[in-house]
Amino acid sequence: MSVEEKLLAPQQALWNYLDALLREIPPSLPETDEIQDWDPAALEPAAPTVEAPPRPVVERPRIIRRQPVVAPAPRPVPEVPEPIAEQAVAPPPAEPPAALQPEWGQAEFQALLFSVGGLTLAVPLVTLNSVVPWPEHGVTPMPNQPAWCFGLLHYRERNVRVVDTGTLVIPPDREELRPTEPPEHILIVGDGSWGLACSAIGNVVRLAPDDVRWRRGGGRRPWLAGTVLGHLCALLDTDAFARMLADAGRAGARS
Amino acid sequence: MTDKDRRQGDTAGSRWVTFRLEEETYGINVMQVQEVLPMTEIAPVPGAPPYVMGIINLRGNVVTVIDTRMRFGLVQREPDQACRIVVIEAGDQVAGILVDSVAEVIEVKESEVDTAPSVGNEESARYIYGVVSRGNDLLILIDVNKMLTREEWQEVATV
Repeated sequence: MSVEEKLLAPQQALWNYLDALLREIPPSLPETDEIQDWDPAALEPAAPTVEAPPRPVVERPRIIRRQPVVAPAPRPVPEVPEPIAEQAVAPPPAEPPAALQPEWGQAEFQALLFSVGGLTLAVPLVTLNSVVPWPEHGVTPMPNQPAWCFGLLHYRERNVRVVDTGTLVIPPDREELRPTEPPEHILIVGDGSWGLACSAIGNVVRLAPDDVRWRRGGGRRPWLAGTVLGHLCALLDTDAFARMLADAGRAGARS
Repeated sequence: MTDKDRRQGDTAGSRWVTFRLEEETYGINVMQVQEVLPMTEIAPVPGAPPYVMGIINLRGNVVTVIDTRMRFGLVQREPDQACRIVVIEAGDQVAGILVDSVAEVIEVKESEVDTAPSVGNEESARYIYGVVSRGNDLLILIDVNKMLTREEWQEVATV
């Protein structure tokens, strides 16, 4: 393997991972976001029975785009591979779910890059309350706290719940990304109730909405707002993160 | 401590016996503490609930010793001579809780006590009275009355 291949391989693996985060489409739905073999251009009367083979000029765009569903031909037989499944979707067939773009992501915004072990994440500055160094005396663990919680930090007259971001964000099958050193910083987010432990702080970047591949409906990671394309990192939705943690706490209470 | 006591304590202070467990400091209201004993032999009781370490003889009386580490979800550790048994009064019950060490009695104003944000399960939220910031540390105040449920206290009484 050449040097270039060696450098590209982990990057490609990381891209594949991030891409997979946003491709959590339930099995019942077809992968309509990915251009299938059917294509509106293939519905020309001259070749009504063309089923699948894409024309050489047909591109498979990486970005999900809406496809014109209405075909001018009187018999719009798209020969969709899974027509039944397509009917299971919302009324406009083959329409991919809309991107869940938070309010702060509607216009240009700034985000802070930070790392948790081998994983780089981004948090929008507008939802970032403070960045504090990990206290020398540590944080105060609470009795019977969950494994994803480090404990409480008294900061600016508040008791901030500090969470182990790595445990929450890094999938179980990505052990190699987990931090091997104690956290160095705490990102206090939202109203200051929660703090995200992290390994290191990076740069602040300015992002346009188009610089982010926004999350679409569904998925098991409500904290994921999207993927920052230029930096190959996940962008956090801190409000959703806080809700998820609060729900996890309540679920623990019922267990 | 009743709610009335808590309201009256807004300006007045209350005194808390602080103890250490796994490098963290906890406090018990001094009114709930009968005495503090040095580490002594704890006789295990077969068939006792898992949170009961055993019993000790306190001047002819049998006192049940509760495993505080287990109740707090901490890693189990073999007791050493630095440990102490804090004899507490919970309602009409007397029991002992094993701690790593006992520190000091401190004065806490009610206004200093913050409600502990929920990070664990309901069980711990029940017996955590609050948290107090002291310098760089957070002191976790414990209501021993609620360390065990009513059924568990009844079990302790029958050990």
